[in-house]
Amino acid sequence: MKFKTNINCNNCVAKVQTTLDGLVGAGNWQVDINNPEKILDVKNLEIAAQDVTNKLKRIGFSAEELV
Amino acid sequence: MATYRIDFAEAIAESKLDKLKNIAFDTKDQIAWSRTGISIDSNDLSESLPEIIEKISSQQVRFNLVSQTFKVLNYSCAACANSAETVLKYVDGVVSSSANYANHSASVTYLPQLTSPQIFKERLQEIGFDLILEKSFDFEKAQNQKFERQKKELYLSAFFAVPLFALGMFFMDWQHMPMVSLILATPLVFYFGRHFFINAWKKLLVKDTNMDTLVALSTGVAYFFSVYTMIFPHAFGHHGHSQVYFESAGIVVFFVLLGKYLEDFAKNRASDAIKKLMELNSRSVRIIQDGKETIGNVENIVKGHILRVLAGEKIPLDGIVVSGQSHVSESMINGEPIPNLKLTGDKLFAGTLNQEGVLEFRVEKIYSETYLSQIIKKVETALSSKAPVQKKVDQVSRIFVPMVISISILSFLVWYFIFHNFDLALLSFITVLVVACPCAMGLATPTALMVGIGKGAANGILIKNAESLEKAGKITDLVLDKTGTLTKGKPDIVSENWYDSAAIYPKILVNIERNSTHPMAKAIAGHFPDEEEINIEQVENISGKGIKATFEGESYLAGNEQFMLENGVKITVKSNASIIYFAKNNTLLADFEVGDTLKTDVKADITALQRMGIKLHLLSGDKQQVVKDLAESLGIDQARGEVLPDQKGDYVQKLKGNADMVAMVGDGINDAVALANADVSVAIGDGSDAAKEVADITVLGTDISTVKKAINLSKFTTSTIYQNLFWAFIYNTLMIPVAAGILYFYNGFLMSPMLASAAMAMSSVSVVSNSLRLKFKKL
Repeated sequence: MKFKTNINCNNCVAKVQTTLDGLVGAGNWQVDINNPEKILDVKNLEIAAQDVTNKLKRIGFSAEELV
Repeated sequence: MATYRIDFAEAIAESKLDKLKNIAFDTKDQIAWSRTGISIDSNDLSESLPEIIEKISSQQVRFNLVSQTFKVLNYSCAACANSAETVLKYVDGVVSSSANYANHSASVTYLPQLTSPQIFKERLQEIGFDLILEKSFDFEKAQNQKFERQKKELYLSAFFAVPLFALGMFFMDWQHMPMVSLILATPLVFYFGRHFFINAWKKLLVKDTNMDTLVALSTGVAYFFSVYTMIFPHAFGHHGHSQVYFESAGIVVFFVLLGKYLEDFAKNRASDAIKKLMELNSRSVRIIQDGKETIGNVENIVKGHILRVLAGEKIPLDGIVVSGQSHVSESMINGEPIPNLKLTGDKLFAGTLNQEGVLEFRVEKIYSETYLSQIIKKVETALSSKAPVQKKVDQVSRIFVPMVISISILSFLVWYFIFHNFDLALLSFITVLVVACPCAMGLATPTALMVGIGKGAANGILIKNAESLEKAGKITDLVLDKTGTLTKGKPDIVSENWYDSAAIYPKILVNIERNSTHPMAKAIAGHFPDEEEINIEQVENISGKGIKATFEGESYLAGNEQFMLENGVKITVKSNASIIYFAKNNTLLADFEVGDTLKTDVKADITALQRMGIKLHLLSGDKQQVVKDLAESLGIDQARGEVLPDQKGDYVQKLKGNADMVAMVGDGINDAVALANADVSVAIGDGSDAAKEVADITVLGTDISTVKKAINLSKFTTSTIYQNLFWAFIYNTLMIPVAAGILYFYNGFLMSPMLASAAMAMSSVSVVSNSLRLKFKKL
């Protein structure tokens, strides 16, 4: 699943790392900060999109699932 | 589901509570109400709390909210700042937060009852930010400002109080006296005394009373009664002049303000402790990056940074040496007087002093995590405690105040309804309130403390707070540290053996040792101060081992055992003590035992303490046999050697189970755990400043007989406090029936409010002079 986010720079990526590693597992996610939409790609499909959105909201990042 | 308890800033009235219960909330969280606060059952407090706080606050109910701005590190873009803000918002107990990317800060409004800046810091650290806690500095500043304001008001109020008093005492018959008194008393009662009325009113709203109630009631009634008699001079049948009690009203306010000021003055001294500890920290550091040195702030340093420390500089943070070598004085950390040689891989501690070389080290702990910072935190906690006597006084005054008010009302009713005498009824009502005015009680504790603490300072005894002072007199067991407490704490020559008595050798030795800054070398050089200078050649300093030099073609060595063995010198003496050897080529010329020697008169001081019925215990990190021998020669039964700092703490803890009051005497931060565990901690003399500031009692100078003086001082001061309280209460309780007019039936005596205020002043004077008597006691 893919999300449109505001994970803007590499520092932001570093800040979501602990949260996302814990939720979907290290290596199962990736952020394309060069894309203007800052796309977060989650490869672990057992996780509900809602969980990802909520967890990121808690640490101050917005994520909107792209269908 | 968790339950969160939130107190109101002050208790509210029942009627208000009913109004609050009708507030409609959007949140589904259950709220339980009481007059003192609310309990919220919530799954996610951060969702409901802002709404709850906002709606309740709009009903004029206050919470103990704190708004604080913190510096936050590692913001790298606006989104990051937003992230920090959100993280803070989701901390339970935070009402609102806002981050500012431009000045690297975040402002948080929170309930200190539920959360703390330390929690904000931990949450931010979890996602790679960091927050700087500088609370103590701001706190201190605020304290000082409050104290300065209080001092100004006191001086200003004296301008009104002194002439008012003179007028009431000596110019009672002057025709303008009532008018002038009115002018002088009005600002005293209603401006300088406004806090009493405000506090009394607030207490009244929640159906409670305290000392403020009594002050407000007596000054208020005396004031308005006087205004009344001025307007109707013949209302109470006095002839000549009208009876006014403005001076009672004004002077009472002044005396109570004075008592409060003295109390805060004593408190203020205690907070100096933190300042001293903070000074041990160095603020700017040398950061090494890509081989270049830049200057930075210690607070911005994170784990893994490489820092450089030059000779004579303090180690800024805890870490591990990566290059260079030097001796580091750690006496503030471990009390050990002899600096340790630090090589690559060795640990360094913040606050210790680099002696001669240049060291580069990798930071292992950030600013807020260092050993030193942890000690500072401990001190902060201790400082916010209250004196045990004061708690008792508060308890008594809780019954005392309503009792006095009831008696004055009762006496009014009796005089008015049974004896039908309105004049006497009103008079006795005021007189009871004035005579029972608690200013003597207010002065009892602070004046004795002021004098006690002042006398202590004059005798080289610094006492941290009232509680420590009170407890020191009850010491049953005293634990002593050896190094620096019983001994001098500096290396000294204990014994010397010369195997060749030629007069030239000491001269050569001293001239060799003068080339080194090592404390052992200094001790030897200092042992022969009069030897003249001779020309030593090819001096070679071998760090951690000794010195090699040449004189008149012969090679000389001075150093430790390892150094001698490496150079093929046959050593005859083998011992556990620190020995410095001196050899010519392969032949041993002399050896010196370097150690710590006993302070003078220690034996007599020990005996004096034992005679006071105090059981002594000796603990030391030194070798078991050394400690045992020392204890035996001093007559101490309980002695233990090879004790690590933590074990000292455990020992004290265990001792507390069997003894009534355990005191610990130490000189370094290595005793900090034991000092903290003890009921009473005493830091001695030349020891590190940090230890002094942690301790309940600090003894300046090197003499442990001052410990005995401190115990005596404590006994005297505590008994003075109790005497004062006794006199203050006895005065009041004896005077109240008299003021109510009991003697009127016996001999027709009726106390006037003027006499009552004089009696009240007398009780204050007797309390203060009893405190001053302490000054002349011999310790």
